[in-house]
Amino acid sequence: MEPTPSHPHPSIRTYLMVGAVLTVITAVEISVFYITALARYLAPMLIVLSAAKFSLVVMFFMHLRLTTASSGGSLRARSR
Amino acid sequence: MIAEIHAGAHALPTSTGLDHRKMGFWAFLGSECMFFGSLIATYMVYKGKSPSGPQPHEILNIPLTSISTFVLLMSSLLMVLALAAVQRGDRLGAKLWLFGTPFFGSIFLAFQVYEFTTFVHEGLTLQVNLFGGTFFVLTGFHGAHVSVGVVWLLSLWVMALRNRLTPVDATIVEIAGLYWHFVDIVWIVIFTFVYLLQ
Repeated sequence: MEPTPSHPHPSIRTYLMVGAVLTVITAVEISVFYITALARYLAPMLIVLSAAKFSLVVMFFMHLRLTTASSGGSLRARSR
Repeated sequence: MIAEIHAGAHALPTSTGLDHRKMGFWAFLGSECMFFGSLIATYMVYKGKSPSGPQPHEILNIPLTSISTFVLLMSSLLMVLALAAVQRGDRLGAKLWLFGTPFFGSIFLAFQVYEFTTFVHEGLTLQVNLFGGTFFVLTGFHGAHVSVGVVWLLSLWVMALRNRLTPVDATIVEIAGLYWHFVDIVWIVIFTFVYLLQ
């Protein structure tokens, strides 16, 4: 079995941008918590924001986006 | 030649095309998801069912925890920078970021120790009510995972200091990174469901 060629990881610039977006989302979460007018929508807003942070870390920092693409390609090549 | 044989022996792919160590570690992280999922579910089931205080809204310190959350998020950023440095053979970068990541993790732990100490002084313990029991078990296990990650990353930092981390060894750094990012995403969920959704 030949090893799958390694896929390039995101650039440093991409990592920094994801870090900045995570910081902004965290700031929004904390702001939403303190805005009493948004209390009614607090739970859905926080869950969506939390899911966005979760997805960003998993897709970019844990490279799941690239891992899935590479393993999917490998399985397709194997099934031919 | 020996280095190539050594590298080849550790890069056995699975039928998915992934390195078998990464595949195994993803399976381990799946079991960790179930572990923390059960602890978070237990916290949510017992939420608001403590007949006596202290209650979450009386005791949780959101500004303090927001800072520690930010520190842990930034440690995840440093972790990917460390991996990128090892992959491109940047020894100085690897040493710097592999120190920065556990250092930020240690700051997070210091915040947690301060928080736990304050809570105990204010009357919240494991035994006092359902909130105390579920809160300390959940965040305590998370803190234990962070501690393991700090020790693991410091061992990689020592390897980097001895110039024993080359691009060939990037997978062992990537696996440590997977663990660290997992610990981070668990905290993302805890911060939302325990601290912000009171």
